[in-house]
Amino acid sequence: MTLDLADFIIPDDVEPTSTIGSSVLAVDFGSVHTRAVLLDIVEGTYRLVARGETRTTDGFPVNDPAVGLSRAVKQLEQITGRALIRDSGQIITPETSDRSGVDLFLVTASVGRPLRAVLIGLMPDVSVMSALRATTGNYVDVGAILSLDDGRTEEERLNAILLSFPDVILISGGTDRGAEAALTAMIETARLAVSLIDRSRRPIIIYAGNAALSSAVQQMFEGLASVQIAANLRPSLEDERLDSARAQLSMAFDRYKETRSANFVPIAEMSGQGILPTAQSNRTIVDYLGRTRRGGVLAVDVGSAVSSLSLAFGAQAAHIVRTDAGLGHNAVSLLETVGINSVRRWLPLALTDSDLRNFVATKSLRPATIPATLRDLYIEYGMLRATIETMLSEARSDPDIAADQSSRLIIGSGAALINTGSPGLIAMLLADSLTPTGITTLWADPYGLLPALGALAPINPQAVVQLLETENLQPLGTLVSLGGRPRRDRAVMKVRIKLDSGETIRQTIAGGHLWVYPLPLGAVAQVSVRVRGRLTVGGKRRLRFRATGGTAGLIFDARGRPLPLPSDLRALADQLALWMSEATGDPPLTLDERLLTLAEKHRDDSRRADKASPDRKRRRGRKKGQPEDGTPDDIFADDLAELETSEDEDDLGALRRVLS
Amino acid sequence: MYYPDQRYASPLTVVRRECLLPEEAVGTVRVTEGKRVDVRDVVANGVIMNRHIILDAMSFFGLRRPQDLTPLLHVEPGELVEDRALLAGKNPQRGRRLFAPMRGLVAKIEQGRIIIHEMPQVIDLEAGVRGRVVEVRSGRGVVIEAVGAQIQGVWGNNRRTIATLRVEPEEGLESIVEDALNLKYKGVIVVTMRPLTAAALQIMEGRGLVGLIGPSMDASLRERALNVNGVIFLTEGFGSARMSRAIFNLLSQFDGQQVTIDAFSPTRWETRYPEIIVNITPRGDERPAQPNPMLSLRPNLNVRVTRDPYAGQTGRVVDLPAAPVLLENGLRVLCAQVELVAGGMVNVPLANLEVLGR
Repeated sequence: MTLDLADFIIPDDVEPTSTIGSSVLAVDFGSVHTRAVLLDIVEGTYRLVARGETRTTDGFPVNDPAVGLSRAVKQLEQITGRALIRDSGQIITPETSDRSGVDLFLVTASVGRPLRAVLIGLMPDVSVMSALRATTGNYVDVGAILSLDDGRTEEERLNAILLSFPDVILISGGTDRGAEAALTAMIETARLAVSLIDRSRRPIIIYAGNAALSSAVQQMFEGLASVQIAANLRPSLEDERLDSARAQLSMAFDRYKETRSANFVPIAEMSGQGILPTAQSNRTIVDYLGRTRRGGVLAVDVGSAVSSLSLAFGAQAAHIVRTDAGLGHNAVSLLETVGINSVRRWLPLALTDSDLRNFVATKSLRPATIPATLRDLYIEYGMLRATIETMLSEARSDPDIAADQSSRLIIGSGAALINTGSPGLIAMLLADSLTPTGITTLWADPYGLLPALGALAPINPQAVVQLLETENLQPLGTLVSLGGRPRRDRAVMKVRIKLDSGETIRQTIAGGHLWVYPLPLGAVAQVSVRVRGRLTVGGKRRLRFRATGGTAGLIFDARGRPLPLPSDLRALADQLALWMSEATGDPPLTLDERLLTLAEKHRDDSRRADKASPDRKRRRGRKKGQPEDGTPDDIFADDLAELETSEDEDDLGALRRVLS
Repeated sequence: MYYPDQRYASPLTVVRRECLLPEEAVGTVRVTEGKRVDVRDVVANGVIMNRHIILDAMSFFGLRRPQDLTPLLHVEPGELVEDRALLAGKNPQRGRRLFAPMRGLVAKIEQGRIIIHEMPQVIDLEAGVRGRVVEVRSGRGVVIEAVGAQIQGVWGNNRRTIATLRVEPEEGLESIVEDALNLKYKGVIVVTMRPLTAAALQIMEGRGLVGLIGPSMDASLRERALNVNGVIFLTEGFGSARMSRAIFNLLSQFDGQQVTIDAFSPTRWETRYPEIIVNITPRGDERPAQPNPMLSLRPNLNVRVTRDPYAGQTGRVVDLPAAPVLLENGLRVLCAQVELVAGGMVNVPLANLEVLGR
């Protein structure tokens, strides 16, 4: 990977400097876990030196996040033998001559209530739409949206603002040097509302509208509320500038954390950089990787209360933050957001809608718990997959992103996804829910390194480049995914893996299956793949590439796209168990027969409801049972034989010959 | 070192009760740190903002300038006005006059407009326990330290009450309906081991019970429970789980005693638990053990399992293996070896264990 310092977009107010010391302690406060990483220069380059993880202590019984901070940092002290925190709970900064302390202490957080926002704009499909897009990368719950043609009276607008109890009011509207009167009237209503709110609860005003009104807006709110001016979201009807408003929203989040979330005040003070939203830090790194890596990058994080997905291809990026979707605290609203049927398609279980609602409601009461039965595992992974699918579909609907592009690099994080104890299972869950095609590198971020790097990027981008170049995120391996619809259990993919040791491994993979070769972390192999008929891997029928190993290895996914989920309940149970077994190397798990029998009726019901779905209509175009590898078996056999006979030749020569 | 979840269920402990106004409320704390409070003492007052009405007095009176309204005004900002109270008019007895459309506060008078705040919801926050204020949270409430029993649950319908606790009749809640003359349960909080149903909520309202403590209820009843006239308190979760024997036995000890229930409804962002507190006067100088919020998981600790397949069962930690354990569902996670009270030695993921206090 070639990374370039110049690809970081550094905010104007931050000056990257070489005088910044070397050691960095970064802590990320999630809703359930607090993760700490120690980064330092080892043999001339930045490395992840140690990591610690503990439960977040923002709530009962401790009610003080600093306790969790101390516990996580003490783990780092035990690992490194280095003093990092004083008995008073103060992080030791800067680093001293005896190597105690760190030069930089960074804090990111996704824990706690998001900012409650009211959006004010003029036109719903112009400034209001842009304001909504500006909020998507931050922890923001939009309480009310006011626009010129929302049909509300002034009094109704006033009450919409007041009864949303906003932390922030984002005002947009008007192109630069455009109309002023209409926007001024809307702002006047906001001013009146703010004046009626108790002084201790007044929201921050972010103005991102017609630049000509900026100073007037400051005057209108003078003595009433704090005003932050951002660049106009829509300087012209054709242009959209979200970055400045997003940065102001992040600053508002920091101020909100510092002023309203009293427990975080001492932590923010120790940091010196304030508290950055985790999603914003992740976004910084995804944007950077999108610019520097060929083929695009996707990062997904499914947390207990908040989930996010970022997608970047070159300079184009889409960022989704769902403050209403999480597998723990927000399990109930997750189910509402993604819809019961999106989860149910992954469930081979005897569950009524009521069972499912009871399950998620109980999970939200004990958000940190993990599934210990196969039934619970299927439900939680069904929710996980459905959440990622929903966010991906949302990101792909962004006009900046070509809907059919598949990322070459995928990074997964979030306890539900990462803490499985099996890298193969993580890889399978990512493949199931993101259904990439072609060749994809898979990374996991079990240590909360991504938010740390995002927070570090504006201050010490060189360190970030070095940390990303080395394997500090956990490489899961390389995923090779077959596109199209292979015939089940028929040979569809022929693989040859030539190791650096000279050993060659050959494998024929049948349609509908996964196969994992455990190429270890750090190892590299020459891989040749040939597929049958009209099936392809990233648009190619034959390809050869150098693949890197990982904790899972090389994963060959011959299941096809879209994933063929059986409609028969027992078949689905068998299928999911088989895929899990193929991905992990563990024996297939058997579901209790009683759970299957009862479920059939309910699945039949939901299938009836699904009959009119667009997917189903598309499927009708193809003859039943006619997969895209519909070429006669003997032709494919010839192709395979050709590859077999060429094995003594030079690899490249053989591949050229086959390709010709 | 692993720090497990804690959910207290103790017959005698030092209770630290957080007594807080809702986040949306603007309030004032009425007591100071160190002050002794009784169950019914008000420790804080608060108001939650309500609807505002804009009255365009300038156009009502046909005035040309906002300042022309000043001599017509009969109220000033901050004043409480009753429904139909006179707000403005040249002559209070006759002629064109502007009246308040509802009871409320005059929030603002500016630019020829009078803005009325419909009477906001006023909250008088009671201490709920007999004890000493150990912390004041400005504008929000207090933390009170008391001695008594404390039983934390998992869900409540966001109401509070102080009343006598009764265990349900042996024949179940339904039998309260059958006996129209039985007043034993009127005005009390009833504990039932069985999951709450729509019928149970109906019985509560119909028979004048002030609260129900049950193990679980169907999630579809949640909205209804939030709106019933009484307190609903769940100990286990949603669905059809029965109350764990240990919790039922503990609650049964307080049959006939006055209890305070704070049926706090956990939000996505706030991790307080609903709780039942029973004030107990310790004998002599006896002071119960204080719960330890910093408690780490260790062998011999009593725990409760919070997820299937052993959900609700209690036991004792026997060992904490250092390596992850393969579960029946294929996950490999850190577990504790737990000896269940009901019998059997099982591996339980650390995340699925809860400490009951101490």
